[in-house]
Amino acid sequence: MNATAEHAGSRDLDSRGRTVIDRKVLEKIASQVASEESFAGGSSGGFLGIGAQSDFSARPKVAVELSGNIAALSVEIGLLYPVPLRQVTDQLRRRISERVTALTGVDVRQIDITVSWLKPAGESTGRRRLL
Amino acid sequence: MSRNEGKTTQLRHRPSRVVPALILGTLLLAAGVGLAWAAVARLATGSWPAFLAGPRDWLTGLTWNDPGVWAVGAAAAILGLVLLAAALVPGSYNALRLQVPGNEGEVPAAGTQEIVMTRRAVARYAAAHCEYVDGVGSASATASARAVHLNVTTALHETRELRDRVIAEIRAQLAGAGLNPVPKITASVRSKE
Amino acid sequence: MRQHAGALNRVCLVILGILALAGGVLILLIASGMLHAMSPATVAAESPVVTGDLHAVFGTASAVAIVLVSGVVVGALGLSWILAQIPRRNAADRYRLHQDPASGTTLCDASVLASAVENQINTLPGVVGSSALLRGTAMEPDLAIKVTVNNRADIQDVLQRINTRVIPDLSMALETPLRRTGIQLEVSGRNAISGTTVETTGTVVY
Repeated sequence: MNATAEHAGSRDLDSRGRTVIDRKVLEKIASQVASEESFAGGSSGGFLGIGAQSDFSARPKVAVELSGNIAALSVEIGLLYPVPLRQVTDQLRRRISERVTALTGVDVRQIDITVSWLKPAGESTGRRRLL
Repeated sequence: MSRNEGKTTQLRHRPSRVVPALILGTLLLAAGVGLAWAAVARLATGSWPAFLAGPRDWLTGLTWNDPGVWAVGAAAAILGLVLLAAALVPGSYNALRLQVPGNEGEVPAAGTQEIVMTRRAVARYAAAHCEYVDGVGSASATASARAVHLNVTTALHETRELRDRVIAEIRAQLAGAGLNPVPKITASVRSKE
Repeated sequence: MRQHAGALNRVCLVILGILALAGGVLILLIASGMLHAMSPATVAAESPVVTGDLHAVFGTASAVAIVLVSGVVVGALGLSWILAQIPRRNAADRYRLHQDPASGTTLCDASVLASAVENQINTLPGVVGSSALLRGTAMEPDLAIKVTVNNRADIQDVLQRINTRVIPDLSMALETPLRRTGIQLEVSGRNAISGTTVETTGTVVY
């Protein structure tokens, strides 16, 4: 009985087809997770990287290198100033890795973080930020 | 001739002798290029370039007690003395030291701290505050590492009292800014007529 | 703020000065005959300066090689000495803030931190402009700032604010006390640019 169930299961798996997660999906998820932290932001606007504005409401730029089920991420992020950079980036790294793994099942081995700007909270440009 | 990378030099420093260094560097460069060019010309054409003929003829006919040798020796000795003077005369500092009361030199989180105000900044600050003293028409100032001199013009005829007032005011201002030691202040007041 | 080749210049000037002085004095001693009087083995004042045949000496290939090499060496020394005169910022490149590079690196350009410091200083009352420079490493950072204040600014107040807010903030961001800080004050007649930012602590009513 067990054997038949297992047999049926494997046949089922074959018949269900495969799920392919695109790099872009991981990039979007990681970027969204990062932007949900109150101390992190990205760049918005601009054309070809020129004239982009640092903005806490924008999503940070994430690039993913996917090899099989293992992902290496590099995140370009803006942070609130002053925050302890080491602690905050470690926290961000843990959070991104947890969420990406939980949502997609991809194993995140390595997250490179580059801090591209630092800004005090009061100086937000554009929209008001809701806490 | 490379410098220690990442080494922090003091903000308050003595002159760095850029002009004699540039002159000598240029002379060395010119001499090097001349020598190299002469050697290359010798290799290419088989004979030394013509500009070396003059010195050669001069040297071959020369004895040690020739006036020319005396002149060369004296010039070299004087040049040596000038270079030593340029290197060893200390020169005055470019800036004046400032102090924040309560933390002398060591600030928590700041490590060893050096606060300086450049001579030009001290002069501008003093001149600006001169113009707030009643009776002063216009003022300018020059500052050295230890002293500030004020040039004040006024419409008043009696200048001595004004001078004392200006000096007292500027001394108070510079002391208030934290200059330590407070530079010596002198003033010359000119009556506008 | 910028670093100059002061020590290098002084050492080179002393060396060249001693060489020139010694050479000059030696020439003068020979020319006056005093050296010959002191020790008869040396050249006499009446003897010619050049004893051998210059053509024979400079005709050899080794003489040409020596001239060429010494020309190149002297020229290179001169050129590098001139280039050393350019004032250098010697800023730190980027700070590496990660503990374990296997789980990912954390990089922060020193200029990013410097501009955060500048922005903060520019909001202080009385400050017209500023420029900051970070040197050293992330564990042992050095900070150099040039602050231009208005000529009516309260200098002590500006310094106090820098020491109680700006520097502690930077040291908190880097999670280490700074090793060294240098503040250079300049004075300008221009008006302070602060006033564009308003600090609010109360409740905002819409």
